[in-house]
Amino acid sequence: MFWLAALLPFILFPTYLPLASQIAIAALFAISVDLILGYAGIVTLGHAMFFGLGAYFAGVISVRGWGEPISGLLMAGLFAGVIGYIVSFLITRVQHLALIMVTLGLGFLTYELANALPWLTGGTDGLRGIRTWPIFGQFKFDLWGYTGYAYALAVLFLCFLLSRRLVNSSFGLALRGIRENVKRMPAIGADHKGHLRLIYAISASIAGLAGALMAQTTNTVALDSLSFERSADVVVMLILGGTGRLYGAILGTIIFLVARDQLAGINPQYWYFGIGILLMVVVLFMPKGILGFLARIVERRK
Amino acid sequence: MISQIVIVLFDGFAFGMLLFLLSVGLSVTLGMMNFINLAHGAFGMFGGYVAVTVMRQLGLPFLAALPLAFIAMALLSILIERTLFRRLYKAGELNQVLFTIGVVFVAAAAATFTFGTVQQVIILPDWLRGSAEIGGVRFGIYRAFIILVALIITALLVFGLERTRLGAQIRAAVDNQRMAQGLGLDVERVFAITFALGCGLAGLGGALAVEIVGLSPSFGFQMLVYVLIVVSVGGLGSISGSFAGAALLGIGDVAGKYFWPEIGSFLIYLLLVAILLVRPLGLFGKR
Repeated sequence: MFWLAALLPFILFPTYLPLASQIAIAALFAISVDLILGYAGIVTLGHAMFFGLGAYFAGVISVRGWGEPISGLLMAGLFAGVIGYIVSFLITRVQHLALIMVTLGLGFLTYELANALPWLTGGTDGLRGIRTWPIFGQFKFDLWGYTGYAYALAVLFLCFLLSRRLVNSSFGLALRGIRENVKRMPAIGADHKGHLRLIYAISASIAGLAGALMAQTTNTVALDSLSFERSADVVVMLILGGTGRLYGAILGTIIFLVARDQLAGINPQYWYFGIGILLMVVVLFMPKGILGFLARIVERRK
Repeated sequence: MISQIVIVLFDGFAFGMLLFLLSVGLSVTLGMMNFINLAHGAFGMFGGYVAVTVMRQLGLPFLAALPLAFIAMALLSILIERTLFRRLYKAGELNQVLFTIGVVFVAAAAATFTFGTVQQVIILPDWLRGSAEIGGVRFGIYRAFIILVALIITALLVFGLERTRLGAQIRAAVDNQRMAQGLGLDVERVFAITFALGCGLAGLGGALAVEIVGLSPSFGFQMLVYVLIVVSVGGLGSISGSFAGAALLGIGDVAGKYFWPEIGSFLIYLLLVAILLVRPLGLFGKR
């Protein structure tokens, strides 16, 4: 039913299609963070690193002459996933505050690196001259964003199905075991570090897909795709919706981005104030996010 | 070349001392209660605004504005600790991170609402302006003043921790909170006092920082990353760790931006990641 509702913007709010595809992309990014944070318990403040890597990869190959969207998307996801697997060896070494700080530090490192390589990334000006070819050689990316939204929604839907299979598998169960009690998992013979490395790489790959989608639908990549704000925003979206639930990631993203669009239109200050209060209220009164809160109300009614 | 190195060391150390004042409170409270207070930088920001406001509106001298910034932030922190933060001591680290980030957002909005988005300036007294030349190198007098203030505060902190009753209680609570509680120590009260002291110091640091880094509603965010690096590199609950971490970060940051401006802060973050991978608890971490 939710996925049918996702088609509504085509008919009801065509002027909001660019916002809708932005939401679909951010929701995909939020799902990638949910996989490691909500299911495996890895708190990250630097996941924009993979979003940005995917975006720059798709953007750079397009600038260099390969603008075919689907192969570009897959290559960008693979690229981010490989980097994610390498990074995961560092991530599984540390815990608690050090873990938060290492993810934060790696995020900043990537940002500074992109800034220091203007011949590749365009530096502070961003990447220019990205051209995305029509999908299947048929559907052109139009000015109003019909194709862009359909494309982003389709990728989101496929990744959602994939993620749902993943978290409901025995692998997903093992991850939840690690989240609940890291010490007990090796005791029952589970290779917890191997599991964590694998899910981290998968998550990085999905984040890379989201970044590549953004590069292809907007035809721009700027440094802010790697920024700390993007890493922090996605965690906030996820918490608002509820961690450990894939729909939570999507719901949180919708609430966050629609609220920002509306409030920032009036005055950016209200946005900061509103998001701050919202965060405090959610943490104090809805520890499982808005979706968890709703689920509890529904259960009580029964 | 030598004089360049000397001046970078000097400026970097002065910047490091600002960071020390801004972060030492967080390090101690984090070590005691495991409470990740990302809103710590917001106290620094409001400390800066208090100093600027009392100087402009009431015409108070700079030297009177500094202790006022300290006192105002200590009092504000007691209020916030009692009403909000106390509820979250038992919550997970992620909830603490998000809640306090929410506080930073609200603080930034409140500061914009009250003071506007313009950069605030502080008018220093004449005797703190300009520079002094020693051996062909010009040292900024205000930076020397910051170093002096920070060293005095450090001496007071170390003396207070080692020699006073409250200091002994704080050390006990940092090292083993449950044991301290078992011995009949009112850990909650000790924590409230330490928290107020730490936030007061952040306020003082913020007031001192206006001249160096400027003051705008985004101060709380800008300083957050620096403060977190100092705390995690230095090690939780260790004053000497915070001091060393802040000095290292300050000098590294200024040196990096001076000698290799094109790579910016790359080196700092590389250092951060490397140190945490070798020593996840920080250089002086205990647990």
